[in-house]
Amino acid sequence: MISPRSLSFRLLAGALVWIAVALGVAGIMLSAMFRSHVEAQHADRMEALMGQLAGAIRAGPYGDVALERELMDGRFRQPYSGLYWQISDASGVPIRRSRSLWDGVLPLPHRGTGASTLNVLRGPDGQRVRALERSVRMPASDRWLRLAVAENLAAVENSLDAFDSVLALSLGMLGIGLAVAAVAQVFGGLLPLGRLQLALAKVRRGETRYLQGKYPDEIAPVVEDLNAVLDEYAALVERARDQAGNLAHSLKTPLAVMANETETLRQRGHVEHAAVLGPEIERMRRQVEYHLARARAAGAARVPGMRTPLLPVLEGLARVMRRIHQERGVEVSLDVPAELWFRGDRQDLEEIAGNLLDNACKWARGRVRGSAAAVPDGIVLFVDDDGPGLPPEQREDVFRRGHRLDGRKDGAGLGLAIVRDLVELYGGTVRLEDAPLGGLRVHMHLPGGGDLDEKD
Amino acid sequence: MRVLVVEDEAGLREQLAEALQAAGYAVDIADNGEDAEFMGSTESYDAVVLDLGLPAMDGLTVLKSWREAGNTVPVLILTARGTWSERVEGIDAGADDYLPKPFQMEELQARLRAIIRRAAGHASPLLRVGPLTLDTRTSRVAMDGSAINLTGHEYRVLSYLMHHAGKAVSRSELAEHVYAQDFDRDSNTIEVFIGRLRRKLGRDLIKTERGFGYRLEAT
Repeated sequence: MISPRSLSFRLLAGALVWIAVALGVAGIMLSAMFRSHVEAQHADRMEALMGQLAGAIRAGPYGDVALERELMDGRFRQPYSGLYWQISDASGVPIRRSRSLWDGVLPLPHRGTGASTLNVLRGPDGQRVRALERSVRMPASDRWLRLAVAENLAAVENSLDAFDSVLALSLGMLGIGLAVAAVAQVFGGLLPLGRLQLALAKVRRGETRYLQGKYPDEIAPVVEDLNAVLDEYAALVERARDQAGNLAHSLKTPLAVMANETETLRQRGHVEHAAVLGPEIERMRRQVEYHLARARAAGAARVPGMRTPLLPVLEGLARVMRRIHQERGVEVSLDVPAELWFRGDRQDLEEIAGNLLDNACKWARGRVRGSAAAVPDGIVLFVDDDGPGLPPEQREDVFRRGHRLDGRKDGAGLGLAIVRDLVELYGGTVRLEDAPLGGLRVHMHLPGGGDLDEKD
Repeated sequence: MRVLVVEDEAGLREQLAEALQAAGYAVDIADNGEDAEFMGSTESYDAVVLDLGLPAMDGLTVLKSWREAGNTVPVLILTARGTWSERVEGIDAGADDYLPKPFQMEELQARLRAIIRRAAGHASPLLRVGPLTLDTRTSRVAMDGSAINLTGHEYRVLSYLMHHAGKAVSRSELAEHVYAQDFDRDSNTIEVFIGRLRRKLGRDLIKTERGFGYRLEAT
């Protein structure tokens, strides 16, 4: 869904990793702080109990040991209550113990005399207990006793666990909240880029001429520059065309003069000279014609944002055809839905359709029909005539440059070659078929166009 | 028949004028748009050969200005650019036909004859009035199938009358369509040509409209 190379992915991944690390570290630290706090409290309590125990001991005259008074906490008298004390002699043999220990013994490690130690032990009834142990010397008898108080760790650990789970839950909620905020921020922040992408796609499809919409200050200059580039490209193509037109003008008129002069030469009897000049002039004319047509077409196919409605162009061409082929009485009809458009330049469409219609009119006996339809990936265009048609084996030849089937028909013999060049420049295809009218059908597919209504 | 040739390229202009004169037309020439516009508006032509790329005023503007003023003279457009949009524009501006350069002179002549003929309402290149036929393609005139030799001026007078057969044509109208602009026009000379034509074709075909002019009609 989100590509690893997208900006959203980078921003999101960064934010999520940071949130996870920060919350993880915070969790570990909070948990550790709470644990040390709880353990310190516990140790204080042990210390207090130890003080009570030590204060309550009374050594008997015969070396026996007794408690002067019961320790305050009732749990010492309740079996397996979780709170225990024990008094051992110096060798570690228990002498007295709390009633709560019942028939159990705290398995204290044997440490000799002196220091207090705090150990975790396996206590009665399988409880994990923490025991504070201290050696004390009885003042009267010079005898060492080992005192121990112990408390079941379950309560402490339960409260630690409870704290940890509350901590995890709240940090988890915080994490989810932050992640949602990050997603919202990333997508919200990148929204203009998404719009830019859509606008670009529209330009590419030929639906708009420029990138449209308002953009944030950071990318507005980019959009402006892109529009300027689009403009510049279109202007460049326009200039190239103008130059091609000027070149055409400056070459074709002298060519006309030369051709006519050659004709005069022939009429005056200089037949050999005319025979040399005539074909050369004709060749020049064809070259000029072909390359100018190419020059006119070359840039436009790559200018994005071009969109030409089909019907007005074809109607204009049909008017021209009816007029210039009036002498032959060709009836030109069109069956083109008004909402169809061509993704490309108007002049190119005119060049394609004009050459096809002109060619059809030259060969038709009386009828020429142009039709078009939308297909899923563009438009198809048919130009049919009721002329003599063309055998399938010759159909490929007519697209070759300079090929002329019949010298009697005027024209450069370039029309179909230019059409094919142009159509292919736009990524389309063109082929010849049998026409329903009886003659030849030109079947053309041009990608990217379609219904005008479909654009939004 | 009288035509106006508008072309700024001297070489081509002369060739056109020469070829059209050789084909029996009275030819006026203009080498820029403004002159062309003026001449076309003030003189009577049977057709105009109009180049589009002209100095002072481009051909399309000239054509539009004529059409706006109601001038329906048949116009054959010549152009070197030859883009289809230019053709559409030309035809939509009221041109009768369109010929891209370079062209063959025969092609131009054929198209010129066709637009003149069509403007006069004739579908066929062979004009026929009673026993008289005029082939616009070859400039041949025949009476009951046998060819008749005519001078250039005689041909122009007869051709104009045949294109407008059945209609009364004034002497001055005839003179306008028979002579080029720089020619010393005298409508009395028209009477001379009519007299010669009547001698060659018989007296009945060309009728005199008293005090006005002539009418060609089969009896």
